[in-house]
Amino acid sequence: MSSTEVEVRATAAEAKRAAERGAKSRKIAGISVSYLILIIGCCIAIFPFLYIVSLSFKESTSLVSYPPKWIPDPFYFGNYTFLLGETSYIRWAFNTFAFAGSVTALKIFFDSIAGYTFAKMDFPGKEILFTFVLATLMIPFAATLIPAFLIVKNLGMVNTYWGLILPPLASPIGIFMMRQFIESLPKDLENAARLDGCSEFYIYLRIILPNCKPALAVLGIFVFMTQWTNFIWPLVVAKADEMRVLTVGLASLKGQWVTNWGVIAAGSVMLMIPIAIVFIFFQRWFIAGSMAGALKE
Amino acid sequence: MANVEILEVTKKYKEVTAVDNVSLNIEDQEFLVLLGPSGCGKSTLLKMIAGLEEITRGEIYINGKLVNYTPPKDRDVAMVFQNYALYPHMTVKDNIGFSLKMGRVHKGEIGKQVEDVAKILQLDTFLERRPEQLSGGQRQRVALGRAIVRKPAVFLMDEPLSNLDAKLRIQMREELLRLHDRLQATIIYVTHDQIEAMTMGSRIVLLRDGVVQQIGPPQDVYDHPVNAFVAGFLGSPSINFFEGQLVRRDGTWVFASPAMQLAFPAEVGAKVDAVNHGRLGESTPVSIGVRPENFQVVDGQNARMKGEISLVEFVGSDKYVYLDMPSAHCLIRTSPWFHGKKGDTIGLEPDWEHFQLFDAEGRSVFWWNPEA
Ligand SMILES: Nc1ncnc2c1ncn2[C@@H]1O[C@H](COP(=O)(O)OP(=O)(O)OP(=O)(O)O)[C@@H](O)[C@H]1O
Ligand SMILES: [Mg+2]
Repeated sequence: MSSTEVEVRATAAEAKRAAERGAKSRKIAGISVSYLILIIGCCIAIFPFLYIVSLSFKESTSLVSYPPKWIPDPFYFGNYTFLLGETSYIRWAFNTFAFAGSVTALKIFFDSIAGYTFAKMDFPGKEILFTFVLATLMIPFAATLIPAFLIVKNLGMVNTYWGLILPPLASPIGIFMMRQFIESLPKDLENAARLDGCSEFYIYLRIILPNCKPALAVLGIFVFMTQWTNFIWPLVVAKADEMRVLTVGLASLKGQWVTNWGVIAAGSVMLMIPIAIVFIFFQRWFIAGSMAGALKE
Repeated sequence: MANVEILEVTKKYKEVTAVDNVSLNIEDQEFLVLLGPSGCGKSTLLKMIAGLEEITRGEIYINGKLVNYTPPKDRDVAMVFQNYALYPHMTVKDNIGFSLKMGRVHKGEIGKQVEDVAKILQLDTFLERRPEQLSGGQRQRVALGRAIVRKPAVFLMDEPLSNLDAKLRIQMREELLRLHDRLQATIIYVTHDQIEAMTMGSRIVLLRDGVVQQIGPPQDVYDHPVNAFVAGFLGSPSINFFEGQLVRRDGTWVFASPAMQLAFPAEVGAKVDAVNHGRLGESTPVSIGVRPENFQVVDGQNARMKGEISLVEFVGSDKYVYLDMPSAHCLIRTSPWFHGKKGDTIGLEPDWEHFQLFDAEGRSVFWWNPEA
């Protein structure tokens, strides 16, 4: 073998390696760019949140300082103690829990059972009824606000939990969602349960519901977040101070002339914590729920 | 403990007729096998017996009692579903024990019975697992266990062994037969597997497009198929068909086709005459069917059927020999000592005892009974 031949081979191998290196570095570059975009997106998303957190630890006099200070100096807890001590914050928080929690629990029950009925049972007029339920989606909330209030008022439920809880239950989107999900569960699963001696309600309770966890988690988070931050309806129907929910209560702290933004920021921070907890709680269900193993692949 | 009577049952899904006017009488403790190609209505029939599908027309009796309007759980039937339908959120133990729990059986008793069943099915080490953590064969056994634990009067089994490996399948086949003896239950069993159908069934029902083709003990159906479909469906490798015409020559019947001129021996000709009733005249198009094992290999020179070997397959106990004939193909089963090779021309003689003749509509000339 001549030396030139060896050289040629060496360069060929090197070129190949270089090409591989090139491909690798291109791949790394690609990943870096996507990470960079994600990081920027994250920062944009988290910025208002951090700003509020920072605000909540500042005394109102130092709120608008120039240049703006990110880390409060000194750390001021007055906003929190004021909220917990001088306002009905705790009561509002309880109300909000009772309100959003009940709506969530009831909606999970009603929507899943209605979804099961629409997905798996046969009865005359089913399609028409379902179309009717879906059609209510098209009526804007603003159009029903006043009639709903009048009904609640005539029932004597203004400033009561029932007045807060009942009207939001009527939204059909959860029924639709649950129906779609339950329809995808195999029919033989119910059939097996039927032969094993389950009543229709037991099939729902023991077989359908446990296998709906991913859908229930989505529904739960969605409903809880919506109601936790719901403002208009509680504002209209629960005006008495002891019946206020957090959003309405915090808004009421906004004075006509002076507003203590530090206090409102502190209230908002505390408002956000339960949502995060609920999210983390339901999140496990996304992963746990899976139909793996039910059927022959 | 229970006989099942199916009377002119029809099931329609909008346009599709899944089961068409089926009548069956399944005796107490019988092991009846439903056999047929995919989509012929086997699962639908089982589900109607179980009460899981509404019956469009007809009646079903279990133990003499009309059950058309009886809910599934009160029919004393258990079903093994084709797709298993295990409860994904329960352990194997809970899957098997669920029906007992629903029946309010005492907890300790449930545990005991589940363990007994698990032992039979070799599932004892998987009791705490969920279905997703099991192999296909293990899942299938759980599905079987769920049915067995209930000790029903009637078992409906929809291809319960299809996912097992060959060895386990043979083992389970035996186990099922033993169980059948022990439980003295009536079993209606759906399968694609012919060996299963032949070995397990006391009778076979062959379905096609929702219509019953033939009912009878396995060997009867195998030896005396009523039509070409049944003949072609049973048997592996499947029967050879040759198309041609029936002509009368010198006072005997002759099957004439490009591949062969086959004069029937006197006794076969007499049989044709006996059942003919004017159905077969001069030059009637017919087909003949000969199973792969029903050929004699004879000297190639002056044989009436001749073919050129295109492939020889050695499958252990047998050799399968593929033959090309003028405008026909043929597969024969020979002993492993057969030494012909590709390109050789050999002669064949059908075994006239097992010879099948079908008319233009595919009905067996010998065995079709219009009254049946
Ligand atoms: N729910 C349904 N709606 C409409 N048609 C159906 C339904 N279930 C079954 N069918 C049709 O009925 C016919 C019989 O189906 P079935 O499941 O009984 O077949 P099968 O014999 O069990 O087939 P396989 O061997 O593939 O399991 C098929 O043509 C099928 O498409
Ligand atoms: Mg089937």
